[in-house]
Amino acid sequence: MPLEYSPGTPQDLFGKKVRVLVAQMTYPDLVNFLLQHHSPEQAEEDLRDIAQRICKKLLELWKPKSRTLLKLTKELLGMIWGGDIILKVIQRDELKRPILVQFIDKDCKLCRSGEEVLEVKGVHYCSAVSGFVEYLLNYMAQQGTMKLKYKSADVRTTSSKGNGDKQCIHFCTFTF
Amino acid sequence: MVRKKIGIFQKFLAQVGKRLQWWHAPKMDLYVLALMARETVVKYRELLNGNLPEAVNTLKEQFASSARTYMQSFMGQLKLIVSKDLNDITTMSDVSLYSILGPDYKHFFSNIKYLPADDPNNKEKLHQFITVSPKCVMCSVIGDLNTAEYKDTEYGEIISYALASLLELIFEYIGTPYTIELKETRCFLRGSPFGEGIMYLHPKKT
Repeated sequence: MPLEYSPGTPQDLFGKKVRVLVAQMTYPDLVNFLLQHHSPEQAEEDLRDIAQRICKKLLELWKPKSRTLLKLTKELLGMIWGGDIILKVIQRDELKRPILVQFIDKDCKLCRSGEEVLEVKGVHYCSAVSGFVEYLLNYMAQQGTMKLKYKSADVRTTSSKGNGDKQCIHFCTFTF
Repeated sequence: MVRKKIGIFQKFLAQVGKRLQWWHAPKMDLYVLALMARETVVKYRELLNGNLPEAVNTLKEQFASSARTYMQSFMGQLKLIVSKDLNDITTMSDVSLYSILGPDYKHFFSNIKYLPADDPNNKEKLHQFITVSPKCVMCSVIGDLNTAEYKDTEYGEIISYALASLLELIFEYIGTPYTIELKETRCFLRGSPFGEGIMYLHPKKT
């Protein structure tokens, strides 16, 4: 049912800013609620799922300009809430293409929200970030605009400051 | 000790302070934040066997509760703009919204209006604060969903409920004995041309 009056559109919000604190203060409740209803593994999938859906809607308005992995990921996080990410290639195939890379988030906004360390095994606190990155990388692969010509990307969070780890790390496996 | 009224100098400092707070704070895209709320409700609904009103209510309570927790840690800084005079709530509201949303907050929240209990136009004879939203942060992002389903939920009042909760916290801090009842009187989802919420101040029974 269309609304009789316009309450505003996504375009009215896109590009405007709000303190990241608003997201940081509600994220712990989201994680805890998911853990109350699902296993840690499923809760992690839920976080990734939420992030992927957000990224899908975001890409209706936002057109990424970068064509390389690091620049694209930086552009994504910069657009959402800023941050500082570095990339390490862990493994290459026989054609010297990277098949396993590591994104190290030096300034994870989600893990900053956790006042207490999450001690539940099986769920990484900032898994939502891997959901954002995975959706974007696969979207860009479909567009065929990336310099690295991969078919698909699978991104998983392997350590989170919110779980007491030293760094937030997301592993990305490429399929060619 | 809480002052009786905010003076001109405090108001000036608050105007400078809100800009510094905003300039200094880490920020994120407002559209992404609104999408986070939208998708959280969608996920909660899945978990709650399709019960949309309960999903919305869960997020509403969580948001208000975490806003209170956040505010409690900042009450010391807010001393400057807190007073016992209800007229000053409009200044407090302006400073708080500006420090969260920056100058763009006026796209989404008009200045809060205070209606004293003894105002001839006040039928309820309770102090009231009226908030008007020319555009709604929450509703802007659900146009592609089945909005008819959201019409009878409290989706549109998630933010104003949190604001009412914060106001209640301020009243606790200044020792003013009121509890707040929020009524959403107009909502885009129910066909209104703008959003409107009225906060009624009920004297606290001791």
